[in-house]
Amino acid sequence: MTQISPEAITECLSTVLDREVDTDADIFTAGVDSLAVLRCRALLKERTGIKVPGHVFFEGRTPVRIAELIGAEHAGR
Amino acid sequence: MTDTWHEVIHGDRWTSASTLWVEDGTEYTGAQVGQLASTVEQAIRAHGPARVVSIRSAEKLGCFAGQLGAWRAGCVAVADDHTLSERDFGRVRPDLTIEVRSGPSPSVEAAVAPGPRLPRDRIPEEVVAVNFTSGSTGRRKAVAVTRGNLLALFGCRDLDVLGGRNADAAGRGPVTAGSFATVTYDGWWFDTWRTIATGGRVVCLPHVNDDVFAWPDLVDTYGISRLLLPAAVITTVVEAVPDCIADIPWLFSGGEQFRTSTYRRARQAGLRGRFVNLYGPTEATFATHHYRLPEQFSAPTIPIGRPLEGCWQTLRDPAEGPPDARELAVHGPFVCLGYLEDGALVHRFRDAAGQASYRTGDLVRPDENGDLVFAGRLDGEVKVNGMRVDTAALEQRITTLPRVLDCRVAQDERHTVAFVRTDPAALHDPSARDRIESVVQDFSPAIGVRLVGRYPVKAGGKVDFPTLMDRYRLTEKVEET
Repeated sequence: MTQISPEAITECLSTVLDREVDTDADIFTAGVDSLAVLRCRALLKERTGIKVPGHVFFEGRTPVRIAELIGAEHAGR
Repeated sequence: MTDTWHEVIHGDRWTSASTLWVEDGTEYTGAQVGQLASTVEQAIRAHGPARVVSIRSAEKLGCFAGQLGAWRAGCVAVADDHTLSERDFGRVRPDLTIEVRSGPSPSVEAAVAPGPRLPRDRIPEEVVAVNFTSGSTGRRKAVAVTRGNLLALFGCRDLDVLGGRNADAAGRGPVTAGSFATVTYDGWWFDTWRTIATGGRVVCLPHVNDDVFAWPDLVDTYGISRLLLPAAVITTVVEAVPDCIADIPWLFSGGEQFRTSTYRRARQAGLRGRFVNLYGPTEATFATHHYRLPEQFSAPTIPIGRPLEGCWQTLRDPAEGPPDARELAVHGPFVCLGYLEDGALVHRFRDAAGQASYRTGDLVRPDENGDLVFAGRLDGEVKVNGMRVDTAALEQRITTLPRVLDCRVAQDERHTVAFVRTDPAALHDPSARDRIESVVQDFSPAIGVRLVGRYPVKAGGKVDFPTLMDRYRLTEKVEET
């Protein structure tokens, strides 16, 4: 099963936003927009090979929850 | 009915075993699409003579085949991907709603509208489809699209590109077009029809937010040779995932202004495809003007160019607006019949001589080559502290400044703000800020300035102005306290 850790997500977000993001912070109130989500997805694909759909970010909202949703998506396949 | 239209809706392609449509990982032959359309046609005819039919489907193919079936039954086909509102339906008053499911087990269900049917001649016979304006310039309107409009679009050679993967090589086989268009509120939906009517095939691309990473495989597998994307989506994709469109030879932009900064960035990212900027109001079916970008382009603003084959333009002196700008009126077979209201045609687009004509309300300036450059809306001037300000001129002026990528002016009841997108280093550079502020002050000292690294974008790809203004108001409060 393929997994992405909350830390992998915060690392990508930090690269994109150029500042730290907590694993339990709501990324959208922290200033993430749809372009930042796309950039983050591109980085995750580059670093892990996993193509994460955008809705996972919009539904999950925090890195911890996004990581859970990615796990669930892949477990269901 | 003309022979050409008859060929479009009854031609050989609807019995062909070749792939005509690709959506959600499934390939559909022409015969499968034709069969689904026949089922829709039968369902419509089973409920007596209907004039307007709403075709509802979550899948693009359901809307597409449904439209074909409705056209064969002599109806106006109003495609609906479950986004049309009650008010939209009130404008067209469908006699019948057909729910279509494509996919592995297709189904068609009909629901008759309650109450007595409106007379069949409430809408002229040549009307076959309806397109809704986005409502960005006021109330949303229903535009009546005719057979003649669509046939003119299908026959427009200025929109032809060569099949295959090389923009310059001689055409080999039919064109495969990627489709990003939505079924409703989008004249580009008719481009899917154009592709099929001219012998090509359509590959539906997933939304950027869903699975943009699937695009390169689809481009490669099916040999997609052209794709129409809203300008803001091109900007987003070029900035974040340029590889996803790198192998598409022809990219058409439209819907919003295509920015020089985006084009420059696309070239820097190694995109070698050809770019075409399209322009046109919803009232003219699909587009009326086009500009093919040359390899070397350095002007501050990308023109909307010249009329497409079959269209022509007149420029008139507006009563208001900046002195050198002219109002653009478009004429010719792309101009739709008029607006529908309460299920009937209530307004025709025509000039004093009765010819198809539509005043766009857009201001333009011809450049030194005779290509038109968009210069704002006739109603686009905003009042700032009682003074008229030409926001398009302001945006264009700011965009020419060094390190500025884009500028958008937004206004609410309290503030008028120029949101200036710059390169990251300029965000914290006082001299860049000073330069920008002094230009803005020339237009009006009451306009606020915000430098941003990027614009928030709505799901459809347009800049999210409410969010920008929310952020501005938040930071204003912080600065006030």
